[in-house]
Amino acid sequence: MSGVLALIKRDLKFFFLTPQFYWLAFICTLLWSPIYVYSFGMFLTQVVSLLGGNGEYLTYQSRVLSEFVGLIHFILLILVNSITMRLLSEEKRNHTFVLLLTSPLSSWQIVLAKYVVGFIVTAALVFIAFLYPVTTSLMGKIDWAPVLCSFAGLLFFTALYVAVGLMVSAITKSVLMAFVLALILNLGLWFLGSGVEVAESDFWITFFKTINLDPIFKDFTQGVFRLQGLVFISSLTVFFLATTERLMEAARWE
Amino acid sequence: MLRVENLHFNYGPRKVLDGLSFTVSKGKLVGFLGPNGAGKTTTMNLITGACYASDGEVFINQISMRKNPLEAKKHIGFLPEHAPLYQDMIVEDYLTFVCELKGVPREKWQAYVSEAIEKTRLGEVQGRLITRLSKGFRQRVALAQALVHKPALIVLDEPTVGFDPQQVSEFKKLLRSLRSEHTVMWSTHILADVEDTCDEVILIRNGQIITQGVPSQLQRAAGGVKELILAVKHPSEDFQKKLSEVHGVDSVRFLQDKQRYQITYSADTVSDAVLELAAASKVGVLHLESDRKDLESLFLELTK
Repeated sequence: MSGVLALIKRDLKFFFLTPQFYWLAFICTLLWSPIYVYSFGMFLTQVVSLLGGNGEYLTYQSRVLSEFVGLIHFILLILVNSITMRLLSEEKRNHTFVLLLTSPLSSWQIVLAKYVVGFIVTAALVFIAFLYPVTTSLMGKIDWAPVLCSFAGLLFFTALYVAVGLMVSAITKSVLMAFVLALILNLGLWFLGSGVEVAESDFWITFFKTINLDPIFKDFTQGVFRLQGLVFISSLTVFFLATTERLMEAARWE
Repeated sequence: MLRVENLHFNYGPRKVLDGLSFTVSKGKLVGFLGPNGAGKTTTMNLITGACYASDGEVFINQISMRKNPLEAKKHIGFLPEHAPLYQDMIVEDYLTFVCELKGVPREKWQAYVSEAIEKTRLGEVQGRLITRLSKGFRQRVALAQALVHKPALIVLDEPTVGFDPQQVSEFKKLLRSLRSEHTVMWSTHILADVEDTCDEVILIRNGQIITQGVPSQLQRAAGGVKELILAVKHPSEDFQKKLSEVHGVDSVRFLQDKQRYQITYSADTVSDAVLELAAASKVGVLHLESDRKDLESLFLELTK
């Protein structure tokens, strides 16, 4: 297990002690901050205009956070690929992959170590996003349960995108190719459910509804925690990790 | 120490290795030779567990690479053709990382890293980023990673590429010193290096072993006996008889057309003895030429 920890520590140092992570964090905050401030400003204006009226649906969760988390999700859906593209592709490009293959680590352990790194770096970006509601809570009382549910959902979804990116990273030594393919796959995975709008037969309607990620994510952002959705996302994540492990094993026969 | 049994590796329809078998004893420094495309790198990848064989077995210290790869890999240090270096790391940190990766207990990291740095003479650059090092130093760091965890077997795939002559000489010296603790398998194209450094040579072609043995044995096996050509002013049968009685001389043949003796021998001191005899016999030495077949000739001959 020490080998797995060694690999995790090395890669985390690479991300956090070089400008890699900070560039990503900079881009994220650059995009998130104005939108959050705008949404929050609009929310306050609406609250003031509706003072004394029926404002029961006008909550921080419904008017600010769910939209904000949706935006974070979309940006991470793109940026997460720039993290995962390095995980295995760069090892191949720099010829350090052979060091991993000849170390006393199984393919599963290598995949696990790389996945943990990808997830921690992505989770760090989610943590930065989490600071927005935390800062808001310093100015007033907010309901934490739906906030935590939204961010938990965000973590589960980014965990899936990391697994997809890692799988793509295992099949190419080109970092750019890994980014582009992972982006296409992740976007494809997200928009696959939209097929329900063009499907005609009952079979395909049911199929697209089942694999549609959008309602699962919306549940999370509205503070609804459904085990069914969680199991589905986790199963997909495990599937992509298992495929990565198989791809690594297959590469040893070539 | 290392046992390779009937190793096969297919790349699509092409047989890269075709029933390769050999053994290497503990503490030997073995040169692994073969022309380009012979299967040297593939063999090394299979020995180190980087790739899986289509068939056959590799045993390191009696541990099967197929059945127990994680345990077998603990006993191997590998320097592949392209040095596996993390350019963003400091030399010392990189070697510590390799120790941890290879499962060395934490309390030994510092001692092992210091020893590897000392052996490979990296002291002056141990605190520097790998990316800032010269090619020679980078190759030394790569060598240090192959031996830092004190593996029983060190496999080196063309490690002297990019070295200047002085570095090659130092490297050979280092390899010789490693024999006391490790078994070393070294693939190279510089045959002279193998000839004066290695205890054994394994020669492969088209994925099959052509020959294995100590360099001098191989020369004899391929008809590569040492030969002297001696031209004299006054040849005689008596002188020819005296020549054949010199210690170490295997045979003497008189070449009528050019008034020369062709002397085949096995002992290295023969040329001095032949010169002394020629002076004492007053035959008038015109010319003495050594026609010794070296490993290069043998390599070319056997890999035709």
